[in-house]
Amino acid sequence: MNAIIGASLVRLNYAVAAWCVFAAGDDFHRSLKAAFRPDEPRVPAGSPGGGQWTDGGLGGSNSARIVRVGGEERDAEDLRNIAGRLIDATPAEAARLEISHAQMEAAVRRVQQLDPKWRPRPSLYETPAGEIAANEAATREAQERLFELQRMGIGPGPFAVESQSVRNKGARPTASEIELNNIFGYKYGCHTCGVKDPGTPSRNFIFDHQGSTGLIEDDEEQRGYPHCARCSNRQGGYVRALKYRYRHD
Amino acid sequence: MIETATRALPNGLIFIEDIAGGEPPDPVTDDKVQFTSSCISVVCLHEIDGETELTLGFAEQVKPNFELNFDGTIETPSREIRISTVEEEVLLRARVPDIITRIRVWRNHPVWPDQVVVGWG
Repeated sequence: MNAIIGASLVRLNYAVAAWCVFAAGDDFHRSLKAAFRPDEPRVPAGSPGGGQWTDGGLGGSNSARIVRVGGEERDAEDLRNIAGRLIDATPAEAARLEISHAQMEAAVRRVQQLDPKWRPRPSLYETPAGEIAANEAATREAQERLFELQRMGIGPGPFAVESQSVRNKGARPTASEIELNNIFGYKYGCHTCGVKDPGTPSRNFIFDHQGSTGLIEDDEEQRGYPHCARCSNRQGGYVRALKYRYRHD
Repeated sequence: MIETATRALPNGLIFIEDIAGGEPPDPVTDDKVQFTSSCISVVCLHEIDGETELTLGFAEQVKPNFELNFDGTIETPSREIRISTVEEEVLLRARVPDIITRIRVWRNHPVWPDQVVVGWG
């Protein structure tokens, strides 16, 4: 009888020891598989990517915010006011978001001074990182639009150096204004393309009103820049095309 | 009926289109005459160089000895065409019989014309 009990105890000890080994092995396997740490932050259920691990950083397209689980409620101080909205973002995200928003607004404002109805393409985003990327894309789009407008003579071009004030919107220049315009033109070239040949039979540079007479409001200020005949023709066609787009978009 | 107007033209351009407005050429190129199905743009003498005399009338009546620069059709759903500036100031207009109108454009100089004749029909 004692021999039977002794054998059972040995088997029981063996089973417990084996179970401990298997349990330790399982823990080790899980930690190897996913760098698992029980205290690692996860995206909460119900959110996009819910249940997945997160480092809370800004990099990568799937970056997500760290959300505290349990413990006390988040303070209102944790929400940051960016462009009039309360946003749950890390300090680094908040700073980048604020900078990208300001840059985007400045770039769009510059374009709208020349092309008042222009807007960047709308974007959809869910996270601060997504909004930062959208702001940066809108800034790039505005810069490209500004370059396109300058190339077409809308707005002072890359060769604009000196200009003169305009008496009335779209007013034809006087002889002295034409003379000064020629001085600027022969010295610095056409404000859009830089050529120093006006391309006109009179050899006068064209007195180009900026902002473009057909696009600005009556009370907006204009200045006169030297333009060559080729750029002036292209500008006229482009202004007319813009006016058509304004009516039909 | 033949109509004429003499004007210093901003940007040295005129547009020929339906009285309700057509779709101007876009993108804009360096061609002296550009067109879409509803609008023709024509390069004229620039305002800094003086005035351009524009003539609009039935083609057989206005046909000048200048070089023909355009011969094609545009949509004229209002059965009335206009010649206008970049700023959409209407300079000349004429009634036409159809909703598609044949337009011919003659200019008296290949680069700096100070006479441009537009004939319809």
